[in-house]
Amino acid sequence: MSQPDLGQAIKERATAMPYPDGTPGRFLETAAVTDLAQTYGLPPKQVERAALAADICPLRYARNLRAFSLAEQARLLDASVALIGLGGLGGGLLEILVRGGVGTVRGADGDLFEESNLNRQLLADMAGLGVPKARRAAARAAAINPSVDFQAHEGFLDADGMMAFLDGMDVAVDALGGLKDRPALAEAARKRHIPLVTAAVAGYTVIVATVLPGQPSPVEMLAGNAAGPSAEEVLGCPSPAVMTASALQGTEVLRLLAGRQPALAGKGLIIDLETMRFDTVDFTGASR
Amino acid sequence: MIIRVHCLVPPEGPVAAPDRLELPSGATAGDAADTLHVPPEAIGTLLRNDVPVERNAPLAHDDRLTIIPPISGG
Repeated sequence: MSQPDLGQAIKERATAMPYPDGTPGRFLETAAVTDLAQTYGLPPKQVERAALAADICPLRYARNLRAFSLAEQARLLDASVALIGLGGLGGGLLEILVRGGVGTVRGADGDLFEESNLNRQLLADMAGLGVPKARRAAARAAAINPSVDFQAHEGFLDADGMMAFLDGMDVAVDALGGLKDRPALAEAARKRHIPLVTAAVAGYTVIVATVLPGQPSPVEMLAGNAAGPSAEEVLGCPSPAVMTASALQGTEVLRLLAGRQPALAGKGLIIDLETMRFDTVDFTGASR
Repeated sequence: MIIRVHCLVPPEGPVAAPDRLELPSGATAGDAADTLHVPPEAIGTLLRNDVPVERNAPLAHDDRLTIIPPISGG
């Protein structure tokens, strides 16, 4: 007996059930995605992509709807993002991007987890101390969503490395700690003509910004003259601030990858968690 | 003149920065930071009405000055 084509097989395995709001829908469970991927010799991402093309929602994304439409969910699966840094910001971002169903996530970090990371870094745990951050990130991504192609780079990137790392990516995400490597990343994103979503934290102060190609990076400006100790060395890097920053960055990255307009293009969102005050600052009109 | 202040640099003493600050006419953003006892090295960026400015930028009555520490952690 000949095998039905993939589209037909997906329809046969799909389950009709309502969305949480009662609207009828058709869903494909992860077990079916895995079976079909094996049967047809395809990556699971392609099975999910084919399901979405037939208006069938992979069940794991059901609660992404209607924050994202089925068409936007398909765009996320087709999208690729470069995540530079897999520590405090990067750990939270990885979680958001992988659960969100971003098809390709390329992550880089040359660090190993150490005890001082445990206060805030989602990928840091007791069992992982001494393990490369990129390796833990790969394991986490695979454990959550095997449809995501997570490309781990266990190493730090110099300026040339940043350029190579961003090749073919739709969006770059600055999840670096410290100032040293941020200018090279901003420059690489500019040269690749892709948006850069950036964030930084010091104490309970957070800034998140989206830099479109050709625009100045506010994080470079906010770093000041940086002659003495950096503010986070004095003020610390507490978990609520880091997780707030990564959640906001993740929101902006998903918007961009889904094909929506960025909310923070040319702007910085400056948050004072001490007073729960949020201000949006326009960096395109900077008079410096 | 009186300006509005949002100082994200923690104070060195026990007293938080005020929400409003009275300054002589012609005072600059740097003058305001000095009046608040925020040293230059503790400042990453000064914002006047949500736009980054240098220390020598003049202030006007009811301007809003935001003082942000240098910030690069993650």
